Amino acid sequence: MSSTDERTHGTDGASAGVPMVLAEGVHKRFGLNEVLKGIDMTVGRGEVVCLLGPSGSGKSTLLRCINHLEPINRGRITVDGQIVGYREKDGRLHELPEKVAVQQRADIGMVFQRFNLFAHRTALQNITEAPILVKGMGRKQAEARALELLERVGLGDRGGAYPSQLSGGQQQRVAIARALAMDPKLMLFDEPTSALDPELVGDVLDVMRDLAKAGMTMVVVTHEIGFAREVGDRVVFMDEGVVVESGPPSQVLDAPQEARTRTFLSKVL
Amino acid sequence: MSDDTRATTAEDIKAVPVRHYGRWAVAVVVSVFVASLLYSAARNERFKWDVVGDYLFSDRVLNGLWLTLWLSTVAVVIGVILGTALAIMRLSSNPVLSTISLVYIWFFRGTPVLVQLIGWAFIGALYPEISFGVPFGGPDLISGSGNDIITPITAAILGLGLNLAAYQSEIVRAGLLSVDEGQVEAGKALGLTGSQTMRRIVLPQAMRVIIPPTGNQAIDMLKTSSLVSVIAVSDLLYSVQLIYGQNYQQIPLLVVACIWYLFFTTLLSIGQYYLERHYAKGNVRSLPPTPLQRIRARTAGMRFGASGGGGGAGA
Repeated sequence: MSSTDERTHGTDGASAGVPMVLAEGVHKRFGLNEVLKGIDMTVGRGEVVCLLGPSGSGKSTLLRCINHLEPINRGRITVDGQIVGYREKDGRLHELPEKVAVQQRADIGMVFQRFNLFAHRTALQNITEAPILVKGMGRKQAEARALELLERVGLGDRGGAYPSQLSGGQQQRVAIARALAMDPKLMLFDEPTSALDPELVGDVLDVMRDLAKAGMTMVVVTHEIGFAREVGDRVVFMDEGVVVESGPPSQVLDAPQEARTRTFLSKVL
Repeated sequence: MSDDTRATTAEDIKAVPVRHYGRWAVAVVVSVFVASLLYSAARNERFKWDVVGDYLFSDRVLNGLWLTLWLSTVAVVIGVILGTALAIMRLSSNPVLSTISLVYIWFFRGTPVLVQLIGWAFIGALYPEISFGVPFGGPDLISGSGNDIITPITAAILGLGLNLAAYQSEIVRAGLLSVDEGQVEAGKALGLTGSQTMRRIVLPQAMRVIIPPTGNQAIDMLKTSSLVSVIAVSDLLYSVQLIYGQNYQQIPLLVVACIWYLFFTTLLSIGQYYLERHYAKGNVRSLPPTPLQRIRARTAGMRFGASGGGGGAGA
């Protein structure tokens, strides 16, 4: 059926052994303000990594660098073994032409804090847009697939609704379905529940939990400590543009080694 | 009246609407004023309504009207297409494109449209020979005398269309900037190219902001096109000018022209209303009813008709 079912945790893929995301010494500046100060991070295939940290710590920026929405200033990021946004030739990095860069992004799904559903398109059209435009999929096929995905996020009957007619939680689930329609090999979640009313958070987390179970590789920026503990294979705690500590949730969340992690957790728990 | 409306919580609320006495008063005053104005105009022989009637559908007037209509249409089409292109160029990250756009707007918005029209009309005086070909002495592909290539009609189309494009580009730019940046990011993140994102995501949503001022421009163009009378293009206004130049019936013929201008600006306003509704899709939870739907709803529920009638007359 969907690619997430075919592509299970497998280390038997063609590029087995290569991590899904590899960030090495990543620096990112906005003007004089250095937001990322040398980040090293690895995300394995099928792994769910939760990025935690106070606001302004650079978590969202790191996420946006992974799919090259923000170009980085130093270091390198590879996704599935490919350098993001560049091509290496004769020891120099060359910017990728738009057509190639676009293909890279098409393989990486992203879910935003503010949903960013296309306001002039129905839920169904939001989902079919990219498969039709980017993958050249036929309309009928794309719509069938979109319905399947809407069903999967529990909104099988809301395909004809415009985003403004949906609740925040429903919009976010459509946004997840929209990203999944491109059969991504990696899903990035940028605080997917931060803009939701408390009673709507659960539905979105349920969908993400199912996705993780199906073996999707996920990087999740979140403030939901409970979710990180339950679903995360690993938790990365960031502060002021560096990774303070990382490890399994039981270690980072329950027995943090660093004082900064302890301070943060004492505030949010 | 209040005796039989014993409110129970089990039924839908049927509240007695607030009476707008002020509206009624103003409506009556305005109606009397308008009626007396119409009466005086109708009775005033100097308007020569019989002459108006004679010329309203005369061939010369209709020919002029036809020219005004298609000239404005062509100018608006050129203006909208070129204006959209200029707006996209202006916002482009490509410095060459954005500079071209900036200079274009600077020039065409900075000089009077009347001068531009005359400039195009008399381009033959500046460039007696016009040729398109390989520059710096290469072979010519098309060549001819300036007056043959730029006829008065071509001059009118160029003058009006290129000038409108400069204004239209600012309207489109405002519309594009009004679309949330998150929409562009979502498009990018899904693997859409910049031009796909622009065409499929940003422009359709910008339309909501672009259409009202564009309708304004189209209506304005219908009347601005009358400036072409200075370069002897026989549009509606120039046609009536030619007629009253012969029979000295200035007022009735200008009334004829105004009736036609009013008629078509009204049509354009109605078109704009429905176009706005079309592009409001997804932004309003439920669209407001069209006038036709409103009339039907009102005749269906006559009991509440009294208060609605007051609002209509005052508007």
